[in-house]
Amino acid sequence: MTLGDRIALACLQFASRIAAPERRAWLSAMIAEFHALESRPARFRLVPGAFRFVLVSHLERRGGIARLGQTAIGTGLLVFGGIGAVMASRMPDGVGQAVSSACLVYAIGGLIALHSLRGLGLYARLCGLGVVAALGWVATQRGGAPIFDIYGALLVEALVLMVGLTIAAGVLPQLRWESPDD
Amino acid sequence: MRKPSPATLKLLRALAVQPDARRYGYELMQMTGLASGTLYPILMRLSDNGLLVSEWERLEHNGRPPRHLYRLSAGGLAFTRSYAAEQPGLAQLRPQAGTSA
Repeated sequence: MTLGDRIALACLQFASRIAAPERRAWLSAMIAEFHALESRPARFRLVPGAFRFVLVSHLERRGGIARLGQTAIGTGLLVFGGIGAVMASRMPDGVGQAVSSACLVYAIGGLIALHSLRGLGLYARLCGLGVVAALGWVATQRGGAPIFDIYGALLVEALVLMVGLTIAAGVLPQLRWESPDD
Repeated sequence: MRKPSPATLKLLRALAVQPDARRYGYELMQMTGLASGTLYPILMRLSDNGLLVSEWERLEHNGRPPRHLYRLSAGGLAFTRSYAAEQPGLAQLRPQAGTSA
């Protein structure tokens, strides 16, 4: 078995581990095909197919879209917060602190999202209200003048994100996947 | 089961040509031209709906693991033939006079 074969087989075995538990026998069937096939391109083509099968196996489970969306949102927020935190460390003090605070809020949201969509919805609404209050406070401090600096941009970004997260947390559990191949 | 997609019909047609023959996954990919990422989810759904019988090969060959084999169930064959009445491409699957489904 070549290195490429080993990598492809490892991918198939990984796909089997992350598939919906009740569907793993189908991945075992694909792995058995892999061992039986002599054509290397045909063997390798099983790898993307296995991952598509994994995706379908999760989507077709009850609440599958919600679970996938939850994972994507949680991971996305954690990555976004992490990248922002690294960038904040290179910014001037005031701006850096503001960006770090925003990143902390996003990272906490990410952790909550991985645990519960309902919790994420509540957290996003609370943070959204906090952002609106902050926008109002900043505007008051400036005599009602519009905020066109980095702080204003951060607050608006946070507000847009929180509105989006609130909508996602409400909509995702209601979605049902209809396969085009059915 | 709702109306099958063209890909599902293609697979049903391939399986129904010789209803008693048990086919490997790769064989079905070659017969239908469907990629594994399309074929296996369809096989899974057909099996869930009782239209497909899947079983493991009994014997091992040269130490490799046994493969999965697929054939239509009686219900799957009847289902395919019911669509043959509507689909010109499935004409050869229509039950002949005097034959049972």
